[in-house]
Amino acid sequence: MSIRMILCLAMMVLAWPLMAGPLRASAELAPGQPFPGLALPSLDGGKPLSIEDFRGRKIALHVFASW
Amino acid sequence: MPGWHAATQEFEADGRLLNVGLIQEQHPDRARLYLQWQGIEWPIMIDSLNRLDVNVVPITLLIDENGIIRKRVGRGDTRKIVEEFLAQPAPAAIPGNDAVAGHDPAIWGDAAQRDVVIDALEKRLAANPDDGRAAFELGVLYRRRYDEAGGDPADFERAVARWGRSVAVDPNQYIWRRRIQQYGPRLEKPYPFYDWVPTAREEIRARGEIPAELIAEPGGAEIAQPIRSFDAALPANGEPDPEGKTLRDEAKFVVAHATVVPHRVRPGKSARVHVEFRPRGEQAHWNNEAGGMTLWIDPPDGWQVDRQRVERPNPPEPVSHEPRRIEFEVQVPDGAGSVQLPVYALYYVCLGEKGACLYRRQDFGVAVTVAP
Repeated sequence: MSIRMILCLAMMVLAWPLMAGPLRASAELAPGQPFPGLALPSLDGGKPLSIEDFRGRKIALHVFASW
Repeated sequence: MPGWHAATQEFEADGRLLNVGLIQEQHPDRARLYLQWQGIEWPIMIDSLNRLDVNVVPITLLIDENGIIRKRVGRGDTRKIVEEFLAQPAPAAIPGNDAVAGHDPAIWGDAAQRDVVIDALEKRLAANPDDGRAAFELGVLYRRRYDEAGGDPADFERAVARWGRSVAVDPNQYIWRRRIQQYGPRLEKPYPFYDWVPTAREEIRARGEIPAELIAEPGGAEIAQPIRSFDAALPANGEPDPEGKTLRDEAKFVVAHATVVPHRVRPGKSARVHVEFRPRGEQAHWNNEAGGMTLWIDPPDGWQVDRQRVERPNPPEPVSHEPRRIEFEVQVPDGAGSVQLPVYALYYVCLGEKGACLYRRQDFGVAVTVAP
């Protein structure tokens, strides 16, 4: 097993609690509050997105459903 | 969203505003098809597990350069609201809001890891039956597992039971409730959900594009129109096997599984029954050159169904192996208790490449759990 593979496995083990745990943002989505900095999967299949990816931009964030 | 898209295209083009979407849907691929149809190319974040604890949709938030929510947009002139927001000077930079890695393997791709997450959530729910969030997340994961090829139909039933638990814990969590309504009876539906899909595909094809593929084709409850009073069937137009002479499928060449939505029905309310039939193993398959499948429902006194005899036409290919789904609704009388709703199906099933094709009947009871 290469050092790179060991490092990779170690990172996966360390990240596991973050991935499996009851991750959630309890903050109210209210004016004056920061939007929760949770990284979520992207619909285009690219890297996960969080509000931090849009830092420095003015955003209109739409929580919606296609129905 | 199409209204916003139209009203803000100019601000997007000059780089002053970025529209971002966030969806809680069970099937994010349906949102992808919708956005393709509408010609919207915003970055979209997927939160099927609703880890942001959203309780209602739609919500539009105006968020500043530091990630701080500045306004929750209500009704009003979209253009004017956006112009006011864009006119606000950028605030001084503040340290970041640490992003927590939330890429969710439980939903995306890794089946083994998803099963580990399901197991952990089941333990959490067993330790605390009032953990509505664990119950909701389990529902999402079971339904996801069901929608994948070869999914176990019992997973759909598990999903409905867990969603039922989550809403019993928090009746005001509307995102959780929507999951049951998506598959539930027409009387309880706020809107049809996915009846727009055929129109979207048609219009996308007319533009010369290929519509985005869907993991699970929406059907039945997911496209049915809501109703305001129970649509009871007229007395039966002929029982297909009144004397019970058709040979029974004793060997169970076809496996039947019924899921009742919601999992527990209140007296006086209605439920939607999803029955799924699968040819068992590699050898059994459908013969589509003979007649279609017939389902007969014999409700107890006082109970009503929206269809008593259901005919399911065959697909065009001569033989096939797909799961066959039939849905119907049942109205529970006031004061009634739980029942086994007697149902039987008649179908042609074939065995092996050159094996015999048999016409068989299968009787089963659909357990409808009634609880006040």
